[in-house]
Amino acid sequence: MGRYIGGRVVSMIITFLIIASLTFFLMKLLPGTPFNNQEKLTDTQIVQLNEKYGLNDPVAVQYFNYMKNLFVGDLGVSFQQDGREVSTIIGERIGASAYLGFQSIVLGTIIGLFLGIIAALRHNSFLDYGTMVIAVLGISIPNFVIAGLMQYWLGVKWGLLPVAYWDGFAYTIMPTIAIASIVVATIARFMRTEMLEVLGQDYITTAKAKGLSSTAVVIRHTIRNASIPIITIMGPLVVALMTGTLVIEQIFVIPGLGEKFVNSIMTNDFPIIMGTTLFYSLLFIVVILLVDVMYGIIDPRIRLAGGKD
Amino acid sequence: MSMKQEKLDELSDHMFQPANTDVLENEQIAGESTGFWKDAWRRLKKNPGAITGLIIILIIILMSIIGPGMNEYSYSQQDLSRAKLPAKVPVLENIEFLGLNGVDIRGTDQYEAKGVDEYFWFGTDGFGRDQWTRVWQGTRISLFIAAAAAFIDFVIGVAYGGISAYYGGRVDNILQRIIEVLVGIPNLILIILFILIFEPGIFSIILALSVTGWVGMSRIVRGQVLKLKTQEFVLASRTLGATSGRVIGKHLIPNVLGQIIITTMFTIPSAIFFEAFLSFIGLGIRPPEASLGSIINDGFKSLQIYPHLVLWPSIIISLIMIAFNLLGDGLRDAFDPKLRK
Repeated sequence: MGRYIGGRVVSMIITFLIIASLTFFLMKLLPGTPFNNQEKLTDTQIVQLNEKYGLNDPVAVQYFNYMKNLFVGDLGVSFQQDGREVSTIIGERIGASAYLGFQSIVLGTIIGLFLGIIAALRHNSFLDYGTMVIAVLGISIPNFVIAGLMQYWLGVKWGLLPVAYWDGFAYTIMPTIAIASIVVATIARFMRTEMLEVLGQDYITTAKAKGLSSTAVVIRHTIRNASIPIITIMGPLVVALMTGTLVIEQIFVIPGLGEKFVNSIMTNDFPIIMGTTLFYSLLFIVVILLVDVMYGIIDPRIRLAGGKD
Repeated sequence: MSMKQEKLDELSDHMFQPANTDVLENEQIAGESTGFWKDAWRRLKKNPGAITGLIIILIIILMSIIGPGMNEYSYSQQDLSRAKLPAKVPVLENIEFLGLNGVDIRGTDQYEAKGVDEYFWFGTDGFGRDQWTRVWQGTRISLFIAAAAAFIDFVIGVAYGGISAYYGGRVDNILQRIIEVLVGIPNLILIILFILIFEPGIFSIILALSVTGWVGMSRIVRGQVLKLKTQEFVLASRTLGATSGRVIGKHLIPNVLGQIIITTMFTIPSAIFFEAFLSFIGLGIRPPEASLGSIINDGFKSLQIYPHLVLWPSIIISLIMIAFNLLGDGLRDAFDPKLRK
């Protein structure tokens, strides 16, 4: 296991370096200027600004400096906000996003598991069909549409919840539902399939035959075995959550990282775009690694098979 | 003479026909044979969800073709004197609760107030452009982008996955290492970076979506081909002297086709979603061109007062996504031999 994790960490670092280089060179290809009101600046000022941010150096030198700084965790300074550190900006922005993402995934997973289990236990019943309808709708309807509908009905028309901004728990409800919808749908669907498969296994018949109560069969044998593969879809779900926060934060005007990312794209603030991209990529790589390792720990069959398909 | 003999005499020769001794004819199968595709179609027909999805898709495709031409307005024709009108439809305007009578949410008949005699079936947007024409024009562009992205994914994915699995060894090793790096990058971030570099427009969106989109397809094709290429019929074909191209084209691809179609069915809605997402955060289609995402984004700015601008495109994009997901699910069940009873 240790060797497996070691190998994975090495390939993770290589992947990250490639992403960092790719991001850097893509940024160099971007059209447009990063400075506010460049047309009002004199030529001397532009030269000075370029000099200040090291944009006059050859690309190779810039690349070397960038990677060197990256190594010590220095992501550079923002072009737009008077040279504030990118890492500071990410630090103050990550709180809202993390809170929202965490709340969505916890809530979504609980509801999704619950729906999936009920649907499988009451297979082909009204509850089952209802769950499947929710699952198809949750996967299909874009989160910004759900957000818009809620904003209009719950926010504007009925006035039940605040329409936007970030000021206490009530403000988190609508964004959380909008992001969690896809989590609920994916997990409910996956859990239902897994449950149905486990319910057909011989060991369930054995458990029933030896006189175990049906509650014990469901809880100790079925749900436990069915929930293991859920971990495999956590990777894609985290990605869905990231996508979700980008647009949902925009709609609900939440001061999170996603909103900052989208705005820095609009303003050509390269260091912020690069920093956020790297941050998201690192998060993504680490989550995938954790998922794989956890899967190996929970299900020994995977570990024995060499950890890969 | 016994009774037995008498009975036998009653059976004359003309009552008999010679038995069929032709071996080939004996081998013939009486019933109509059920091929793979026929079988799949038969099972698909039994799935009401999939058929509903298929019908919705066909209707929406039809509407995206004829919809923009159904009235005299164009998608880019501005007229501020008729801006932000609610929906008004002949005949249906008399049924109050449908809300298609041109009365806005504050209860004023905007058509009367602005002195407009025409009917705008989905209302008009902030520049007085006909929302009906724009929505169907946007649907057309969204579908075109999705279809083109799915096609590129299909071509690259099948070729990449097929080559990787068929040749195996070092080729496979190198190609799979590349995939590993690509999978490590969150595709949304990559799409956004690429779209920033290209000039905004339909083709850069298609390109950006294709940058990572083919990876999923190539993985599925690779897995299937790996499984198939060791089977006897492939060996037989090779023994008979078939070239690699023939083995891939005639034996491997047709057997993977079911999986490829299913994957494509799920690529299309995800491409539509990403396009809408990009247009929504302002990186997609530029006005006056419209896609469903950009129309919804425009409508969001005045959601509180003119909800109809968001409502119709939202319904259509949701319908497209639901329909493709239902059809994809149905096809997966229809093609999956494990579920065959």
